Amino acid sequence: MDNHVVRGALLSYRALFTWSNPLGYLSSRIVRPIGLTVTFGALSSHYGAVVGPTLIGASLLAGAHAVIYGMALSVGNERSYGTLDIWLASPQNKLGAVCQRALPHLVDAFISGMITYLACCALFGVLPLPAQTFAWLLVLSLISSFGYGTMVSGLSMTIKDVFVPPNLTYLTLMVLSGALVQADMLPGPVRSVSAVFPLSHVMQGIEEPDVLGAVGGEAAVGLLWFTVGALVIHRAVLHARR
Amino acid sequence: MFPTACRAAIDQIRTQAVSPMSLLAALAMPAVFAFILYSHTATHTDAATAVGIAGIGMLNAVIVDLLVSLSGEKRWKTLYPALSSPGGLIPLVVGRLVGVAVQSLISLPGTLLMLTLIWGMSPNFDWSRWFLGGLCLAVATTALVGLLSYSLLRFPSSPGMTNGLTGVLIALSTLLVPSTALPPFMQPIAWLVPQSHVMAWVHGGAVAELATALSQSTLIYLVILLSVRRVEHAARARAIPLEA
Repeated sequence: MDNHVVRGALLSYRALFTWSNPLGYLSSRIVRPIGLTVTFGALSSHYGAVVGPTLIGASLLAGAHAVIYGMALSVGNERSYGTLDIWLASPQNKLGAVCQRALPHLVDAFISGMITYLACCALFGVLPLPAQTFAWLLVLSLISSFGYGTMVSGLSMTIKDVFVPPNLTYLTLMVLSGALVQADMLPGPVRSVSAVFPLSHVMQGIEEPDVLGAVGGEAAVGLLWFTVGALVIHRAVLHARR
Repeated sequence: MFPTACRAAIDQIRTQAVSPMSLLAALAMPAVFAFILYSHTATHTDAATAVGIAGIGMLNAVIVDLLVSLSGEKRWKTLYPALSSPGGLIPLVVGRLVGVAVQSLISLPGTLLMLTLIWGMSPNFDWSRWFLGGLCLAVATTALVGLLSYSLLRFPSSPGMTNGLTGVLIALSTLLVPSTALPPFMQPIAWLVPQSHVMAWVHGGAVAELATALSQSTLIYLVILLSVRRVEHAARARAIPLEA
């Protein structure tokens, strides 16, 4: 990859990702997802469900959490530091910049998801999928999460509170992605919407093994949200320039 | 001291009661957990479920509100005038904690309304355990999270450092499932958390559980007061900075 792209990505990570301090990183990227996964795993086992799919789903969500919050902060903190106006007025391609800034968070998300999965499997004494297989599922889910994160970044350009867009979109993902609540357990009208959320096809692929369906589904979901994100960013930039 | 504490509590409620983040934490997050919980069980809402779900909102709200309020005091440089007043920092911290606890109570009726509308209410709903359990949970949650006051006042804030608390404390507080469902090494730790005893009482346990929760909370509040006194001492004797 071009040095310029990597340098820009790392610069944005250092400057805008406020959780990159040791305590903040450990707390946000490691402790929080492990704590939540333990809660959901305990919930499943208490009600007699198989704990494996919950551990997989919650660990994939840990990866999605890192992408969504990372991408949101990498745009939202421009506002916190008072540089959003300058950035929006600059000739830089905003969609390209958002993609560039996502790179370190995708790496972070992979690390966070893998640590969460392995730690929680050790805590519950189960290994529903080999680590390598889970790693592929995580990569697949990060593709769609990246598209979703692009949309969240676009929202962060227009919504003043830095944490409202990532919180709302992540909470929606927790319910509708199929990672923690199976799609057939959702209320009727919401059930059909579930398929357009990241992770839904990966989780479906775990229940009924279908590699092509999962890959194609997640790629399509990622593309859909990326397109929505590009439109939101384009609109935000136009609005700012007017 | 009392008027200052009252003023700090009122300020807390006045400035943060309807902030989007506070409402999101107190009402939206528990709604999500309710959906996840009810995907495993198909029963109507009973008092224990209602208090547990409200507890998630309280926990989130207390963490967010305490962080915002104390880091706000540092940013506005209001801790120095408080330090030089006769009561020191304690009335301010106590007032903020009371305000945060009162504010978090919105989760109790807010989540019950949502749970009842979506999943219905059990005919044997125990109103007294719901109400008293909810109040005690707010007291216990504020005590436990209030321990953060020391590090928030004493050290420079590290952004994101409180994010992990939600995950860990939801599990240890046994808000959704009993401690026996937790991984073995976490089970004894859960009983050190006062919320676990409140939840044990709400699930039909003896009054002794509630007494244990309140005793633990009182002890934690004493630790908070002593730690704030330590911050005051450090600020006066060693001139540690009390601003962001």
